[in-house]
Amino acid sequence: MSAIDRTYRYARASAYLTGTDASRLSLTSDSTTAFDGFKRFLEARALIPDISAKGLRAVSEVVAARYYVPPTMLAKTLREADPVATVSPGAVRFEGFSSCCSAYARMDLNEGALDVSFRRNGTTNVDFGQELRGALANVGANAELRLSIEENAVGITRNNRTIVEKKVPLPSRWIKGFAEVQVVMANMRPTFRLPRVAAQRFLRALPRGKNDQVQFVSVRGGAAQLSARPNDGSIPLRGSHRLRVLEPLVGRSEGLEVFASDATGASAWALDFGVQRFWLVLNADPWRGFSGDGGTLSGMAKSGADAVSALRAQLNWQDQIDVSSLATATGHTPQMVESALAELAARGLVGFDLSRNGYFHRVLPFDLEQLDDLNPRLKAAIELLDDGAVKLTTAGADVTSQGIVHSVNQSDEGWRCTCPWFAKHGRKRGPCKHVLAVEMQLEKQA
Amino acid sequence: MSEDNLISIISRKKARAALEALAAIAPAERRKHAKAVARLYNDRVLFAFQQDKTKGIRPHDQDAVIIGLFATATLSELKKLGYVPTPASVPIEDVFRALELNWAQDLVDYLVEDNPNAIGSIAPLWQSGLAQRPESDGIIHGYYGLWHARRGVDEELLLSKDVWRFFEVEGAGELSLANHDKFVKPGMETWSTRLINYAEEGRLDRQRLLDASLDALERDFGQYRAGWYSRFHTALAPTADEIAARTERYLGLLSSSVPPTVSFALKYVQALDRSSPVEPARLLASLEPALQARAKGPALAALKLVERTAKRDKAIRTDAAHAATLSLVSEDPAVQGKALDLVDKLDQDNSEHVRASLADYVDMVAPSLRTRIALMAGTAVQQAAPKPMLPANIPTATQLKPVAGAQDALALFLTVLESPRDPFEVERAVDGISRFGVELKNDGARLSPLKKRAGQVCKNPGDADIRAVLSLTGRALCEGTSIAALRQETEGDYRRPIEESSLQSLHLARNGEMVERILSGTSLPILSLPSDSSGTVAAWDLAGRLADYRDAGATPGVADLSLALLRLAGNARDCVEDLPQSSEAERAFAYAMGRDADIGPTPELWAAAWRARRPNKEDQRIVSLFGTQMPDCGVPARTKLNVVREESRGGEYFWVKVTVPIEPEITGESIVLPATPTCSVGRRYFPVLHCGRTFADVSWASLSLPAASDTFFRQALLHQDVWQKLTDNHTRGYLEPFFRPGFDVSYLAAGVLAYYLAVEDKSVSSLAAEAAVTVLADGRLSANVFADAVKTFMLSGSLPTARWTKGFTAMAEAGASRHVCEVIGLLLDFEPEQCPRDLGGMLELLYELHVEAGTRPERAETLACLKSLPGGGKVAKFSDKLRSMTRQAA
Repeated sequence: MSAIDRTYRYARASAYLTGTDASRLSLTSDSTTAFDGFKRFLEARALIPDISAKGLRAVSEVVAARYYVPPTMLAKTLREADPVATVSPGAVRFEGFSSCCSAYARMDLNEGALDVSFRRNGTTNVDFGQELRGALANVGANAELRLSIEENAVGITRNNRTIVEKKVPLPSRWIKGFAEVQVVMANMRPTFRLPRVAAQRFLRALPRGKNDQVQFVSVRGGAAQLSARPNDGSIPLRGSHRLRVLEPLVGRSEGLEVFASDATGASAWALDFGVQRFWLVLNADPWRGFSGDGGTLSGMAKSGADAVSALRAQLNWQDQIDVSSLATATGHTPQMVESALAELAARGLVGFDLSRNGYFHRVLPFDLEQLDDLNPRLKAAIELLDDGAVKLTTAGADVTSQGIVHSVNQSDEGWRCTCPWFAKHGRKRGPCKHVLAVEMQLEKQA
Repeated sequence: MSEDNLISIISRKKARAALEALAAIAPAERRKHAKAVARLYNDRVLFAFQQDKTKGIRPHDQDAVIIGLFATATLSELKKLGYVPTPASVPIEDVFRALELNWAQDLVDYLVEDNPNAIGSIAPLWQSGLAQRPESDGIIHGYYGLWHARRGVDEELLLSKDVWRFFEVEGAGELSLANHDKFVKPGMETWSTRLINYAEEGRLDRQRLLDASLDALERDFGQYRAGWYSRFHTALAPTADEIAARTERYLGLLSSSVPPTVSFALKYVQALDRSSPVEPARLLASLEPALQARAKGPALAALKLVERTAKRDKAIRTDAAHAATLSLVSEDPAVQGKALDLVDKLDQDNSEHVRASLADYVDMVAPSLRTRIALMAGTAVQQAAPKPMLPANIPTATQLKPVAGAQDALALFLTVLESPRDPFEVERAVDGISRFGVELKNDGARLSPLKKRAGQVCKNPGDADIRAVLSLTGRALCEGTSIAALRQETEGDYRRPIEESSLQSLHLARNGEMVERILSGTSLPILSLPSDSSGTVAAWDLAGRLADYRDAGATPGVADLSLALLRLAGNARDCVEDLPQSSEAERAFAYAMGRDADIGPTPELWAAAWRARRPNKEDQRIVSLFGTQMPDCGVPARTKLNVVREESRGGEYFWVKVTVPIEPEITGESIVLPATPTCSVGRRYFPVLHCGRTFADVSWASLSLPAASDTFFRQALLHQDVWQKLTDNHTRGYLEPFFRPGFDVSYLAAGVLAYYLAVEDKSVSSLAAEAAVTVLADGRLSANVFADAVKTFMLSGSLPTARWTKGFTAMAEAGASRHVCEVIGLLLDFEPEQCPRDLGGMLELLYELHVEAGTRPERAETLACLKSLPGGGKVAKFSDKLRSMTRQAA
């Protein structure tokens, strides 16, 4: 299945309503994703309203963005998906994923950002469009902003219709990428932190236009710099125009933290507002989705279904999942729990918070089970195994596929294969199907 | 009804007559011929220009064929054509009625979404009641596609309803109000003019238009499209009362994420400030984005507003001073200076809040303001530590390790077949096959992945010439045949044929020699594998490889040895003493090493050997091998860099023209010519095709002659398009050699750096800045040579001076401040009438760099040039400042 048609159904459109004493950001939740028939998720007062509003606006901007447009799509009007809101005991999170599948944004409103009068744990889509984005730009620091997420929000009606329906075709790579980006984050390391003014200067200095050339970011003399070639400690950045979403926010932040994944070349950029945090995760290339990164494949090939289902039973909207206590509770090793968590992340059941270096529970409101090709490489590897295509040798293995014998050998950096997929991607996008089949064969024999 | 009869109807009759004839045929009968009609439409209407007009059916009336399509096809089949045509000479509603088609609504829904430009031709379907008009954004996009906004089309509907949606629907792709009005032909009516005229005629509510345009600006449209709404609002020329009534709207728009919208709103807030000032606290809070604007104008205007507000209300002076500090984030020293002036003027240095804010910017402002801001912030003046040079490591030669085994060789070859961007890896891969080819060949199954993949790539190598070379090599090895035979077989398969005197041919010849050797059962390394990361082949290495060949009884290939000689390192030649001359290959090597030898008979080999000699002195024996004098074939090539400004007839456009003439003239072709100054004779318009047009190809070409690269840099100068921005700009490949150790930066190479520094594509100019820093830092390029090259371009007046200012700024930020100071100082040596435009920015940079380093201009020619510079403004200001630095020191 290459895409699923997702129909968002809202009782009313979300709205930003300005009153005499307070403004109200009334976000309508998608009635098709309300849990247990519950209609109301959150009622709160924003304590730092301008940042919360701008952060939400930025998430929506990323969702609406297509940082890379294939030539054949130039004339198409793009329909945008809606952000995902998660209400949990200690935080409210808004997540979004760009149409091109290369950028993920999340605004975390942690303890201290909201004065909550009603809270119900859960995840839902919220209606968020261009008009709301425009209105949120005007929320000032002294504004009184009330935020609600509920099915029957105090919204506006459009064209005399009370029900707002949006049918959006969501490509499978979009849905998979949205889930898998969490696994990519889990494998990132902190690189550098810039204070506010230095971060502001760095973002202002980025090329204004679309820039698909790979550049390298390094910190020298307290300032971040872009260079065309790698230096010691630099991280790669392609498509730096994707960072522009941070520019309106950075002036109010305390600093910018940067994380990077050495394996995939992805990077995470976090604006720290104290009790709030805005995350922007960029894949290595603007034209590359997170869905094909295959970070979980080896783990999935090995991890048992037992660990996953045992872990699933333990999830209860935790803001931070403690691996050791889960290991104790489920009787699995911490490594197995980590591996199972990665698998749950790829299924949209947990997210990753780099600032806490741990997973949190949330359920992406997409039916990932609908996608029969969630992991085509894993499926193909199982087929190879079932066909008896793997023949172990002293150096590794020979895998026969469609009459071609691919040699899979161990090298200093790991497994290596002679298939075109490996020749093209190397180890940057997870193992190829032949390597997976060999790993599974070895696991079977162990 | 036979197919021939139906085809005859639609190809011989006029449209109306064809419609009548088709209407008389039963729908089921017509349907049978859908494929034939579609074929006729495709061949004779859509792609008629590609067909031989003298053969086959020639339709009498194209509309008749289109009606034939409607009569026979379903909508799905029409969509498959890629474009749904509509007849022009027969009303579409007549077609639907006559043929009794029931998919009018489906066609309308589809075309409104897929091709709003076609709305004009399908509107009759809903106007005649055959379908309903959809209310989607596509209908509004249709208006945006109506060139010159012609009147008369559903005017009532437009004025009562649709026009207000213009302010809600941003547009898509090429369809937007901004695009329409920008590209409408002179004299034709724009949508902006038309709406204003309607308002003046009283047919549209002016107040609603004013509000709607502000609504649109609040809607987060893209910058380009949002521009139409701000221009439209300005064109409505709101009165003072109308502006005052919308105060909150303008203040709100100061927070827009679109910079021009901020500037737009700022103008109205300035107007308000003069007529009915805004409440001070509200104004200060709103001005924050404008104070931090990237552009100088809005930032200065915002500072002015802050100043005027603080003057009116003294109670807000601290807040005003704090607001002013926000402008310090600007990169422009003039804005920073004005911000500090305002903080000074407001006398708020004692405010903790203001001082803390100032302290954040102490290291960020221009060097000339650092002492001042530090004093105001109450922090110590710190001497900024010099920035480490980028790249941190001056390139040093690292040995190139050949692959270690058959498996590695195969894996590497498969990798470069997919991605040949690194020319060293390509050479290692070819060498690996050369070393382990026999072993691989003996195990047929092991080569099966290469056989399959090389076959696929061979059929579709993409844009990179090098992939074609590698795939042919892989195929020849796996199929046990010669590359020459495969070339014949695949002739015409490639988009660009492989030229005889191309780099592809040279490498194919070398790889062909290798494959033949493997097929005859001998595995040996190639002679031309670079020894280290400089790309050159060390003399001792080549001597050793030749000895291996002699020991194995193998004859070195001409192309392989030619390439090896072209790559022969100029240094460390003394370490090879024993130079046997028992074969032509050995004689050529000995000759390249400076010994005397019997010349001939293979011209290419001896041309390469002659080029490898140090120094290159004319040798008529080499010339006689070619039968004609050719550059670098026995006679040293002499090149010259010419840069001129060319202009269009009216002088509206200008561009740079770079030529690098060579002497002696090129009068022949040869396989080694790709590595010599130019390619073959007469290729006036495509002088650089042999380098290919991808990064991989250019980078690959850079390894052809690493020891004497003027050939390559000549191509670099001719190949560049300074105005073009590209994704993965291949001309970046021309800068690769600067990051390799060893080669001397000649005048042409310096010319490349000077030229590329001023390229509009930032991916190229920033790489050029880093390349310049690298070669200046390790002493391979002197400031004199570089300044001379920059001057050649700059004084031609063919490119904006600001481009070099930006490039020098990037170089200074990369840690080369001292070199930049020196280069700009050397550039300032010209007659007053030669003074380039926009020099002020460069002088400002020079001034700030001197302040930062605590130095001053000292060169007499520089000071004389500064004194003689004509004009006022920034040029006069900074030439005075620079000269006063020297005067003060004296």
